[in-house]
Amino acid sequence: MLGWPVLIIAGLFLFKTFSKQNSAGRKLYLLHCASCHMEEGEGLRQLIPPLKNADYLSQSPLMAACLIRQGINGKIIVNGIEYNRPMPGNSMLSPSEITAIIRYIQQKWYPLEQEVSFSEVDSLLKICSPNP
Amino acid sequence: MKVFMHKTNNKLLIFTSLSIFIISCSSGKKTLPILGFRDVSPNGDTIYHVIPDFVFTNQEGQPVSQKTVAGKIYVTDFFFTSCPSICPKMKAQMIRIHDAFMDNDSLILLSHSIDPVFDSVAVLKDYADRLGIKTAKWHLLTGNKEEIYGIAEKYLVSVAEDGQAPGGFIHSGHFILVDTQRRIRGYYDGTREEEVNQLMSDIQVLMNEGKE
Repeated sequence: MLGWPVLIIAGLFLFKTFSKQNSAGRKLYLLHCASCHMEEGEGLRQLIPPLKNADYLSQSPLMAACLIRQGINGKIIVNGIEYNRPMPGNSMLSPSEITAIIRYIQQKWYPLEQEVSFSEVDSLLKICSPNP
Repeated sequence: MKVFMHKTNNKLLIFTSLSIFIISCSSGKKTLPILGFRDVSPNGDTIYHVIPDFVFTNQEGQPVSQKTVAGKIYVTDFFFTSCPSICPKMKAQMIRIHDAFMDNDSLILLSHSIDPVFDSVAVLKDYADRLGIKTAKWHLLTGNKEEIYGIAEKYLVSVAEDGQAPGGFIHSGHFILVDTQRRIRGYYDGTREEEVNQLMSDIQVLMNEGKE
């Protein structure tokens, strides 16, 4: 008879942990990314590339780590379209915050793909080339 | 109620405003307020706040002035192309208006750059091409900085250079609705879809007003 309440509490606990993790990534995404890439990740015509259904993100989600940290100044080709507007870097974001953002993007638009880990992001951030 | 009861004047005032309310509702037509400062002429007419004459340059290098908007309704805003904060959202919303009124010549759109030194004609042209917009419908404007900041004041919105702000400038995210007589008829948050829906329905109200 003790089984049910325990299961429910465990379920609630898991749900809370999971949604908390998501909400941190979501908050950071809305604060740092959504102004330009939009809440639904569609970008803006040929000015700002999409994050949703973007070939480079599904191929190498880790690449986003250096982009988020350093921004980009110059051309980037996404789904065959050339974009060429500067993206400002976010040097104040910590490796764990950057991990949370990439995971949020993955959970939202690439749910079937393997999520990046903190250690992968953290070690990549240490070797991002100074000027991409 | 108690406050109102002992003053006949107030009763009259309530009655009058109620009548006006009933009359304006029973006409069944929505009207938009005329905003901004107002004055009274010596013969008692109300003088409304109007946007003064201006000349700026658009993404094709053509002059855009009060003559361009003569007899038209227009929606205007302030932005800059390298803006990392609210501008892309404003532009995504402005595109909706651009597309919805594409074939209606009685409405045009004016977006003023508040970073006119960087936002040259060539920069604006590239931005416009990437947005895929039609010049005759949506003019991206550059020009003399003092004049652009000066006209922002006339639209009663704030713009300023600020080294601490993202991108170096702060500005209001409003879309301003202006009628054919260059009077301000509404302000809408240009980053919010619901407000821009309201703006689009208010544009229709203004267009009908012109037909009366």
